[in-house]
Amino acid sequence: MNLLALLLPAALAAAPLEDGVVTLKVTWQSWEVGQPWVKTNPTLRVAQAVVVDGRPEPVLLTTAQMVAFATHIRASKHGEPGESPARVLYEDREANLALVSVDDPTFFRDLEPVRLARRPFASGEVSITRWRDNQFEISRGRVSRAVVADSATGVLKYVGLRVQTDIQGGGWSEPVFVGGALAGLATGHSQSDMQVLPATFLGVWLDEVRATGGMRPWAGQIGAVFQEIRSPALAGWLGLESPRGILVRRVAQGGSACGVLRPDDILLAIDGHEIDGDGNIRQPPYGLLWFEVLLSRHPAGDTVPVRLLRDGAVHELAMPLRTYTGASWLVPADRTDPPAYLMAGGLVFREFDETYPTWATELRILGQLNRTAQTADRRRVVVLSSVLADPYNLGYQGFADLPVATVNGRPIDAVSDLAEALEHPLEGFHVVRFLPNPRLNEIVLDAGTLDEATRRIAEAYGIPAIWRPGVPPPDLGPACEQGPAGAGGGLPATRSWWPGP
Amino acid sequence: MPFLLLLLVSWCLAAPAAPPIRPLERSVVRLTNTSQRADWRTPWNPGRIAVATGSGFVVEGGRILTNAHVVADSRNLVFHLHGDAVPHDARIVAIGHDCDLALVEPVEAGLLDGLRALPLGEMPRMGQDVTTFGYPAGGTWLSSTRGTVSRIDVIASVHSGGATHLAVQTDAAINPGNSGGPVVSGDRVVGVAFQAVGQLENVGYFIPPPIVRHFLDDVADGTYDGFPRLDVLLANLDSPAARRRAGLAEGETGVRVDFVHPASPAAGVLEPGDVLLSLDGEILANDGTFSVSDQRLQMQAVLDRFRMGASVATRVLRAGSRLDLAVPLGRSVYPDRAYETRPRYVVYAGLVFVPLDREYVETMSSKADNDVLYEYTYRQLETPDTVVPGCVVLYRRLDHAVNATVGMATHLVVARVNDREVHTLEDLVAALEGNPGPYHVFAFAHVDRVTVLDRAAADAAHREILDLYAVIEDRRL
Repeated sequence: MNLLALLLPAALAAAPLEDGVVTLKVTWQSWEVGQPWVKTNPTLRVAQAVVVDGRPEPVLLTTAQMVAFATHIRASKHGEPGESPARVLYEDREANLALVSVDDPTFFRDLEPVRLARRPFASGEVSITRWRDNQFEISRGRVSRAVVADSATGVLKYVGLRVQTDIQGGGWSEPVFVGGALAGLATGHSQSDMQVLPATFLGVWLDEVRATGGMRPWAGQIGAVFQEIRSPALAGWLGLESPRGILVRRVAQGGSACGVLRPDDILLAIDGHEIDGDGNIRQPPYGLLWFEVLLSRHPAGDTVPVRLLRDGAVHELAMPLRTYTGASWLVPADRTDPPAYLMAGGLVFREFDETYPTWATELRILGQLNRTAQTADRRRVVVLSSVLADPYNLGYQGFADLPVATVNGRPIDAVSDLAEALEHPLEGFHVVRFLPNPRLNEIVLDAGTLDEATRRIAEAYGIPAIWRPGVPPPDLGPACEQGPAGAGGGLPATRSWWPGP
Repeated sequence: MPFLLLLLVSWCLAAPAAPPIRPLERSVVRLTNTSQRADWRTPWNPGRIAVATGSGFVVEGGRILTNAHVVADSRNLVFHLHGDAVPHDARIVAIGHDCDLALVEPVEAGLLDGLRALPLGEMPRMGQDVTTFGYPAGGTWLSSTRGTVSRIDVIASVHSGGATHLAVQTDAAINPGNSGGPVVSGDRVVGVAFQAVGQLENVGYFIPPPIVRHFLDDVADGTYDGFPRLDVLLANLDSPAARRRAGLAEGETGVRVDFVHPASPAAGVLEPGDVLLSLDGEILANDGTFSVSDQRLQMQAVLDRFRMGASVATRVLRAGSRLDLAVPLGRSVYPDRAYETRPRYVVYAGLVFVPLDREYVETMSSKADNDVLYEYTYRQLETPDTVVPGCVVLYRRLDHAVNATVGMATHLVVARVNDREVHTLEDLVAALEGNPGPYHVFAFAHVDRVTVLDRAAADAAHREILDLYAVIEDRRL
């Protein structure tokens, strides 16, 4: 990171486009969902990157989705056969951007950093570029509109551009240029429609990384549930003369909203922009945009002003932006860390996350918990993902996809709880109880022979380690102020998802 | 020339002398039912009109036995006698949707007088030859197919939506239209054809004599009570560790009770954790089956022996003691598919509310939210000791200026209306009609969303919306 503190501002130079565009070959491998102790078949991904200034050498800028799960990266340029080993210097998954350094210092000798088109625009002609079969390919494109886009590797919302183009098979971080300056990087492509992360955002992000050396990644989400105030009836009931602002329904512990916004508040303005009843702000030249895109202008640690209506009075408050990402959800999203699991007696337990296939009924219900906030006493959902058949687990073979409630009477909130609970058998048995479901309530195993069976099964099925505790969930900080009960006209509480505390 | 050719063909067909119709075959009739099945997607409409044919046969008492699904949701029912071109009006005497059997009779007395009532035989054996009679694919002439008994099993009936009973599988072809026809061995009826498995070849099912007798005995008093069920969730005890923890002795077998519905007749008698060792004297294996003449059947085949309201002698292992209990059997609290009924609903200012029931879930399951399915399937399991009250779903919106801006999703579980808890359509009506305030406020479970209507504007638009969408009545409670 210290290296990045020395990054220099981009030089103003008019170089051919191909001098600023290089190819990255990324070998990558994700984790096997059903057998989380192994990785999937390694795959090659070919991505584009642009050269940006750095010290002592320039670095490469690409989208974070291109380096996700990377095991090895090499860079090539000018369509030449040579490849130079490269590595991820800095990755900001909320921003969906990464800086890649090249081991060979001479790599950049005949390359020039690109210039950024920092002025926002939402129409006009652009050029989409990439190296293909040793040739530099330039395709025409036309910006059709601005959209509120979700980060492909995070939960941040930003202003994205849609580009109409006839390029085939794009979306691999192809640099998009306007008048010789970088207009953005492609993040997706289907048929004639390309999604582009615009240079306005790249510029803000690079400035921040240059200023702080990448110590402040982007915050992600605001951490609250909102409801639009579209109908005049709802506005009237809330005491507004006409629809405006957005109603706060729930505030998540650990998010930026926690401690600033309260349920029943009406958020009227954020970061200097008035919010309408649809939750939109007006931002030229893009037009109406969902207000949460304003978070993409700041890294975590910045403070944004908010204006809200609470109990009929207008309050002007400061909201410090805190990191609140998919890792803070009960069913975590966008994970690249090795999944937490535990195998005991052939029973494979793992933490439920967005990679898990949710076709099974019980888990389909759990899938509903996507985008539900963690609370201090419920951080993760542990599921029995499969049973590796062995004489030891006779009677349970074929059961799968069941959410665990307790083991030996102890509540299970993480795989590490499971490991602990298995140290305390009940009268010679291990008793696994599941959340209520119509398929199976309880599994009983012989405690005396568990270790021996686990060793045998691990050997037979090729499991190198019987458990991995995984990365602990992020610190949620103190509980949020929820406001006086029944404030704002007494919005009713919703029923809880979970049985009992 | 074409005329001549036609004559020639007719002559050729008529040439061999037709064999005489046997008395047994004369007793097989063709039923034509005009039904009107309610559509839960448009609960205010009377339903779709359809015409379908099936088979039936004459039984004692001048009546015709057929399948429930042949005569369900009937608006008009006629039958044809074998070899007779004249349709006759019929009416339903009794209908058992859970076992898919029905009894009908001619409106005109004496019509079946010359016909033989087909006698009911005994339970067929594996490999026994059987012959089916019926009118497959709506044909007007009786068709018969032959095969053997290929399997005897407890299977779920499609018509009931999953109620399981003893049934017999045969390789004799059973096709649409065969439904309700007799399956005969020798000169006795050994079953009533009722369903087939489309993806498999030569797999048809018929309802065997014990189930038919149960139905006929049941309806003898003029009302149909149905087959009892146990309403408990059971877990197999194939695991040796689970058996030891449950306290079973070496060689002892049974199944563990995991959940007893608090409204079921067995509540208070059976408890979660009990191990069922035997039912009506039949020893239960660790997978819940019992042994009968060299094969194994699921325990529902034991319950099929009993009438509604009876008790079944049950041996239970509870906390180390073996208890002999009389477990009362009654109507299941888990509803089968609904027939002979119309959907319940309330429309207010274009918002359509329905109760969360089996038909709603069956009709909407692909669209209904997980929240709705959760309420339907899991809520009761999570509160095993108390009966969970029902709930009302805001199913959809009939768009109109008064409701178009409420910005709501469909298939929402209603939690509160005007600050009153809503569990039934009656609760909803009371909450709406008892509200003197300027707004109606709807809050939903699971989603953090509140919907508000201006009461005066909603009341004013209510009638107009009903007329616009041709909703005849604003409620059916």
